[in-house]
Amino acid sequence: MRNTYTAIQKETLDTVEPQDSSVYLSVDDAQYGMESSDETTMPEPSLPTADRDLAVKTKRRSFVVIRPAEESGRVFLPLQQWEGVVVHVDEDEFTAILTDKTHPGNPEEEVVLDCQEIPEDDQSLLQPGAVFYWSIGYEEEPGQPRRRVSQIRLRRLPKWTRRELEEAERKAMEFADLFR
Amino acid sequence: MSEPLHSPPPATALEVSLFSCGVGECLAVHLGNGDWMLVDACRTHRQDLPLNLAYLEKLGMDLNRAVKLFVITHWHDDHIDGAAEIVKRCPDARICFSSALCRDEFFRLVACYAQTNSIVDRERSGVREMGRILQILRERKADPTYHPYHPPVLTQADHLLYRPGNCHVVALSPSPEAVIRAYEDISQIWKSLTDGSAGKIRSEATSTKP
Repeated sequence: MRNTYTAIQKETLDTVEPQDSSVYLSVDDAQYGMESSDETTMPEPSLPTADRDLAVKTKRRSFVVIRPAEESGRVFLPLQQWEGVVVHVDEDEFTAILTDKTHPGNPEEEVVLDCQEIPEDDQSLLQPGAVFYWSIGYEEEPGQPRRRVSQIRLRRLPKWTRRELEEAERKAMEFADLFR
Repeated sequence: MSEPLHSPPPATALEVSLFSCGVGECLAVHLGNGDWMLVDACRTHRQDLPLNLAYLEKLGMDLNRAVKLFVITHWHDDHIDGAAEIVKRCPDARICFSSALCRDEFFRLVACYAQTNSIVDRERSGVREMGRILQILRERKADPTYHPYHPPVLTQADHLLYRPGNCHVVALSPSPEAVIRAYEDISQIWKSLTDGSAGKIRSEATSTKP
């Protein structure tokens, strides 16, 4: 739901053409939570019923309209996909172990790839231990010739939580005991 | 290419067999009198037995007793994949780790990646395989039918690991310097997890030596 969003002030809300899958949320929901009913009103009746059901509007808040990204009509047809783990990074190249996701019976392979294969947005994530997905296939777009593409995306995951780290410290003491 | 061996070596023979798959190598060494040493583990498919263990099984060896020594040289993915299976199936084997791995930071790291609620891929990473091994040892230590419990052997260069008869097994590594470097690496990895400097992603714990 948070793919693409646009902040719109209340007074301009009526000028926005609502879309079926748009979601209207208060900017301050996270801070205030749900307000009491006397502060909450339904949005303008001009909005479609589905949007009215989803909308939460308060007297003192502005709105964020969350919309799905516009569909480009672009379709990716995968031919081959791997999951990889980076084991070493040089200035221009990196070494990775690949697991074949298309043919899971295949053994793992070690490969050296050009750092240029990594999208610019992901370059900062390229470090030993990083997990990535590599797909080769065809990209089709209306009115365009079919293209053969190769794309690598690095996996983004949240950091370890304090609770996980504390649990690890507790378990580590048990492991250390195995050596005594 | 030579014919694969399908019969056990003579009692007096020293036989060294090297196995390799797409990524990784491992060894099976006959020490004499039907006693074997396995070094590291690798397998072609995730569900298979490690190649060195599969070889002993093919020879008809009693895995419960034949493997006397299992040496885990380091925890890189290409040398440890399936090692927990060897520990599990060879309860008589003395397990040898690098002494660099007996540190609180390393155990914390292993415990962190071994957590069942971890959302990172549970099937990868040498450190996770170490977690499986330690978990098997933990269960074994708690099992009253499995006594006496023998803790893993922590090795350094020049340590004598096995001397059943005329055959001696001596570790050539890690050197004291390599152990200190590994301490530093492991401490650094743990520090990056706890202070958040690991950055935007939760990555696999990978390379450090020995």
